[in-house]
Amino acid sequence: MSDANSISHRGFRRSLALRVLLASIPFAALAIIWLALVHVLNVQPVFLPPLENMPAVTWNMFASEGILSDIYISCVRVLTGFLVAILIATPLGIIMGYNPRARQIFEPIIGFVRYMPVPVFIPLCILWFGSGDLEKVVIIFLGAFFQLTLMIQDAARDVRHDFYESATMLGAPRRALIGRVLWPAAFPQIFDSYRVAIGWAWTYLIVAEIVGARNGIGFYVIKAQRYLMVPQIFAAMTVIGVMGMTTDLLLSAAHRRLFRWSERL
Amino acid sequence: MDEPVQSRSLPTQAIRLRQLSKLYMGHNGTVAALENFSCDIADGEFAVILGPSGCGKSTMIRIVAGLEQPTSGSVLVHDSPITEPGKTCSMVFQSYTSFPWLTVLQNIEFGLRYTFNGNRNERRERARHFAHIVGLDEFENAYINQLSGGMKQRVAIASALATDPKILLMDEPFGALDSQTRMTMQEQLLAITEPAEKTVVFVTHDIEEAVLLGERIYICTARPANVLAELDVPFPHPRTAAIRNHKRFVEMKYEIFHLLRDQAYAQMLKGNRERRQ
Repeated sequence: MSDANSISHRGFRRSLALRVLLASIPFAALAIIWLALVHVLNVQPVFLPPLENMPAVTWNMFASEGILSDIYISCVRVLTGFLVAILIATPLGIIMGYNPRARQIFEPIIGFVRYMPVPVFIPLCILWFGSGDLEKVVIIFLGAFFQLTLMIQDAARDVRHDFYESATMLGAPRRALIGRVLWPAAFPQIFDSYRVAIGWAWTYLIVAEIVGARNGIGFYVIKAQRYLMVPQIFAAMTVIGVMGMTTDLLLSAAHRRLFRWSERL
Repeated sequence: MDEPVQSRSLPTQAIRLRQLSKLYMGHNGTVAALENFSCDIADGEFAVILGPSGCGKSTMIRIVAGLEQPTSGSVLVHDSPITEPGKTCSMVFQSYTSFPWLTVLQNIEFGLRYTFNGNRNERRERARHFAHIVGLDEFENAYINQLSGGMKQRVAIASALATDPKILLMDEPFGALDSQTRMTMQEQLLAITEPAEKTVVFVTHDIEEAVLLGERIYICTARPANVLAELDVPFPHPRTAAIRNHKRFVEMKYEIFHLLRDQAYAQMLKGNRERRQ
């Protein structure tokens, strides 16, 4: 028993090491291209700062430019907009997926709004809500909500019809079907759509912060651009990338943990 | 004249189907799955509905279950009409319908919440009992995706039986299994249902399966399905797989094959014609 465990544990460590190695290949390639552009092709620092300066620039950004408070503000905005979006999109999408009438009511209007480019709403939102947190949250909500609702609707529709029939034959009343069949069956896919939606939330946050803001990580980027602090633009973009990747890793780990049943052995 | 009928102790009917018809709206007009389908299934009987693939026998069992409504005709289950799924019948489907997000034990417990008067512990005990009956004691806490096809169907059978239905409906439950698993499942089903003395309605297109399991076989025509013939299977209970070697068994298989051949051929031609349209 312990033997089998240690073998599988070692196997897991080895596969993890391999995965990290494979994942770092594109990063290494990116770094090499960057170095080559600067040192071989002599691209000017105004266009592309030397890679070797970046750790110091990044450190400085955290130590003396107070980027942490910008990151905090941005995170609060993203999470608020995202949570409001999933709290409304989840029940709505489920009802639309379960009930054809609800689908016929809501699908056209959502399809209509979702093709409107979100950045176009920014001037309107600034007009209505000012340029504070509320406006950012509304933009994030608009960016995530409509697509998310449709994805959740699809997840709900994908639930196998014979699961409902089986539950019914086992005595479950109609009102129990959503809670006891649809929700557990569709939740893995719904959770996946959350993962995709939080990516959009980040994108729209940056868009909103670039257009009109006094703080936040997007504002930091636009400020750096205004003063031609090119290294800081790169450093801030790296920070955004790392935060997005971390969120994604955490969510996919949560997915594996929550939905062990959906794996095959 | 009355005397002999009385002495035979006329069995009560569990299911009475009268002039059942079912039409479907298809792309090429309406398709009749059933037309004037009538039969009686006695209480406690293991009834096999045997017919060529696609003949409408699944439609018939789904109507008995209350999952579909007939276009015309009447269904009486223990003398009451069926309009929606009720507590009298349980069903085992051909597809694996046990819930993958629940463990084996939780699956068997699923229906108990609605059909069994008892607290949590009693429900769990009952689920354990049925897991034992289908031989899944050691897999109580396994998830469905960790099980083989045969084990999945055993979970489905246990879940259905645990709700204590008067009638167990089985719609080609072993159709998706490989032939060896199917043979062991047939034996196990006999071992489970013989002592339980339930009415079982078993739909299949497999002649050997029909003769092995059934006490009475209702042979269906090509679509629209109709009862072509009813046969009593003379082998006594408890049955084992060994009766497959019985001379009478082999003869019956051939007789039924003879009856079905024309129907299966007609169904095949019909299928081809519809595909070409």
